[in-house]
Amino acid sequence: MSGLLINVDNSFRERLWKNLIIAIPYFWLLLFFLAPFLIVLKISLADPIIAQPPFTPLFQDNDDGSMSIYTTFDNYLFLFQDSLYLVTYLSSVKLAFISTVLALFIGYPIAYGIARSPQPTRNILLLLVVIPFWISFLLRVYAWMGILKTKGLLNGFLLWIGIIDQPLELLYTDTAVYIGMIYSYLPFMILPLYANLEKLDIRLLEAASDLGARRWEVFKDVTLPLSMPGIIAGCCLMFIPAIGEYVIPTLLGGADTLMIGRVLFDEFFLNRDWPVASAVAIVLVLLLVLPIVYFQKRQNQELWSES
Amino acid sequence: MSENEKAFIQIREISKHFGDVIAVNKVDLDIKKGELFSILGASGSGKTTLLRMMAGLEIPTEGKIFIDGVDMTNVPPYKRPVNIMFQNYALFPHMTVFDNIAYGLKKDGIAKDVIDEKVNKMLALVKLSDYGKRRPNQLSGGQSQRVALARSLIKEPKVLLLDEPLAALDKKLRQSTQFELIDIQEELGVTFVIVTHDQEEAMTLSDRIAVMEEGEFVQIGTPNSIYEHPNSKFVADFIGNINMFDAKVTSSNEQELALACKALGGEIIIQNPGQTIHSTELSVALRPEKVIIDKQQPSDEDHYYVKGVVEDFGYFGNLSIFRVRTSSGDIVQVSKQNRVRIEDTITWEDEVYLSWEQESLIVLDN
Amino acid sequence: MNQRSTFIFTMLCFGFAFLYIPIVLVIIYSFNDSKLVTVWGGWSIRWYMELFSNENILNAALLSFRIAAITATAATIFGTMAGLILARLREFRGRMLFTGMIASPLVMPEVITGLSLLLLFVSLQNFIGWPSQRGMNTITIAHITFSMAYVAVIIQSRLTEVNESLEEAAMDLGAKPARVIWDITLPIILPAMISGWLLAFTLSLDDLVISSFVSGPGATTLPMLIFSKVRLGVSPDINALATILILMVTVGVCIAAWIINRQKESKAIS
Repeated sequence: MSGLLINVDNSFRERLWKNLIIAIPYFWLLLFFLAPFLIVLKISLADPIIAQPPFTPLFQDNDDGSMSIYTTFDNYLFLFQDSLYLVTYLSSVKLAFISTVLALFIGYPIAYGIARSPQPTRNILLLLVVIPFWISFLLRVYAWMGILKTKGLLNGFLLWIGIIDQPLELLYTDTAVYIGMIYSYLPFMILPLYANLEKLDIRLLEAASDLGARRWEVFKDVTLPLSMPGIIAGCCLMFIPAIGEYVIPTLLGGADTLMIGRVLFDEFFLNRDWPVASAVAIVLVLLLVLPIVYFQKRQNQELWSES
Repeated sequence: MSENEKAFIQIREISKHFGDVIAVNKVDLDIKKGELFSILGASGSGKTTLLRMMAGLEIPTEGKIFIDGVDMTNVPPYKRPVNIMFQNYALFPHMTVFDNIAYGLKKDGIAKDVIDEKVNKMLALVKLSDYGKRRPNQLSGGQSQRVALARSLIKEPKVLLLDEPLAALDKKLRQSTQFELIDIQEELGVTFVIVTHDQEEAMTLSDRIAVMEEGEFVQIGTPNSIYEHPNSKFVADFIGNINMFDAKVTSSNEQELALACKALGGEIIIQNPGQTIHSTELSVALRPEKVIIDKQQPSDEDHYYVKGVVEDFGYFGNLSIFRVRTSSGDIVQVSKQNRVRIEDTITWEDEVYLSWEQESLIVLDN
Repeated sequence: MNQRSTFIFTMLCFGFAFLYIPIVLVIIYSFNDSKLVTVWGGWSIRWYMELFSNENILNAALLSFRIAAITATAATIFGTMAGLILARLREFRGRMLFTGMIASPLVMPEVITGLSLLLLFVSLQNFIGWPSQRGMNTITIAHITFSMAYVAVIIQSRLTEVNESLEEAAMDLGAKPARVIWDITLPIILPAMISGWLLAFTLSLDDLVISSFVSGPGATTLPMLIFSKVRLGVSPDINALATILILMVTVGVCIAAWIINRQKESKAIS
């Protein structure tokens, strides 16, 4: 393959600018993405000390003038010994998983409805899904605070119509976190589902019903299996960021809502235990590797089957 | 090609590997100046890769390319006296037709008034004088094709490479465009190298054709010689329709080749076979239009004939095609011009005689 | 209307109600005269007046917009380069690493990106004395790093749709590769670059977590300010601020949608 960026021409100028195009983003990412990550890894293997910076250095000067490498797995052992962390990891996965499943059940019919709408309506509905996507995450989470408060709008409404006679505890509970998660990530779920369902060939559905399938059978036998890539994309796009979520549990969750992003934040800023925070981060990355690799593999398969 | 008539494009031992895949395998080729040369092959035969190496868009793994005596092997595309017309035309969507055609001249730093004059002349040549201000997405398929042609000719290249030039056009348009292409080529005298998978296109357009298969040339020759004298079963089968039968050599010398062929009624004698036969197992091939089909037994003693029953037939208006099962049980395809309006038509289950001239038989080494 | 369409129709109504009721309530209550956020006290624009006289908020907004503008521009430049590499250079040494580094920021939890960048800045400060102070500069660098990945993905997916033969045709007609990028590639991917810029701008403007990590004393972005206020509970001037930002985004998205739609229609006609 020849092409734009392949050195057909060996003149100095041609080589120079091509190498620059590669080098600039490459070095930026090496310096500001890969290096920081390696530093986290390094610090997670150090002991916390009261100093600036608050951790033991990797290379230590020995008394005889030589250098030695100092690492410790204490932080990781600590994570597994203190049940708080284990419980937090599990609870993060649980919260993210349940929100994702609920969002799928809400998002699928919406995406389906949009994809089956006639053209002018479809564009408007799609626009209505896209707008919240661009509105600040923080503000959208904030909007629910006023609704879910004990003296908030939802309780006020429910009391007024008489369903309840005592205001419900909603804000600062796990329920609020679920609502916030679903609300915030719903566009992430709907958009890939829509992109998939929109491509679905109507003639396949017609063929299925022509061959005698009932409506729900058409859905179960044709629509659902064909929309699997969209379902997986939507679920991954929601589940992966939801695990590490910080804002939603902090603003809407209670003191007992355990999520790993929040624990990491507190460990770092409140306890100033950088090594443990780093170890928490590394374990979180390991936790995410599985769904990410799975997602990537599915995406690649999609690309292959399309080309 | 004789030694004194030096080739304009010389390709020597050229190969292109993509990883483990060998797209082009040690190919040699000479193309004369002003020639209309086609490279014909199925998709994946390596024909487009070969063309792209001539354009400089692929760097050969090994071998050399000379154009007009100059080594072009490692010259980048923007420094070659060669232009290419892409299969999908590759018109720049953000430029007008005029700017598309003018692009090559602008890159050469030619004065604006010269560019204007040349582009207008070119637009006239491809009959698109009023279309200069249009955008590519406002053109029909045929118009796009002509703009692409104009754009690739504007720099007066020594060689014009055309990648499937007619593939994107519908059938009617393809025929008229074929002749336009030939006219333009004759007017400008540019050497054309065309890559195509369409054998009809290659036959009508070209002075010579190279048939390519799995990265190698199987046969190079004029359309006529390739059709009438295919050198292999592959070429015979690839170009046009053909009947092919197994045969055994019974005796062979310089002047005469005697074969036993069950499907064609037993013993066949080929005068002056013109090729040395190595094996005893051969194939004998016969084009459907060279077979005469008749209900009457042929009286001519020179003709070979076999008897058979019409198993199937198709009426195409200008001609009819029959599939006849011979007494030996083989199927022979026959095509027959419908020269007369009302005829004693041959139809299903009819008993017929198939005859042919001995010169029509093609002997193919296995 | 049959059974199934009724179900879909109901879901659509509920879905969009779910998406929009909170937003609409924030907008309505930003005009509430009462200081108690959930008690209606009549229409008023007093919170807007208060907002515009609050220097902290104005400064934070100014800082956020400046960071977002620089981030979006730099991220578009770097991201376009990266997208070009991903789409047009199939083989080069270190490509695996490069693809990994482009894809990872997209899925990396914000807390980790923030934490790791802060640790980098602290280490750099210890070793080479730069950055001497954390603030706008460090926030901008952090924002560029994660938003360039988004731009790269947008550019890459656009470029895979653009037939490479366009670029080859330009080269064949005598343009050197650098010229081809300028004459052909960039004009064709310009719309994708604009969407990339807008996305990077919004991502930067909205970011709270990463900014909180890498910021230093004195540099408070708008989300950081909002967060510190709403942590303590709902506050009416934030409603007003939210309304302004929501309207800005809505108008922006609608204009963009209108332009894209018009382009599509003009293509459909021809």
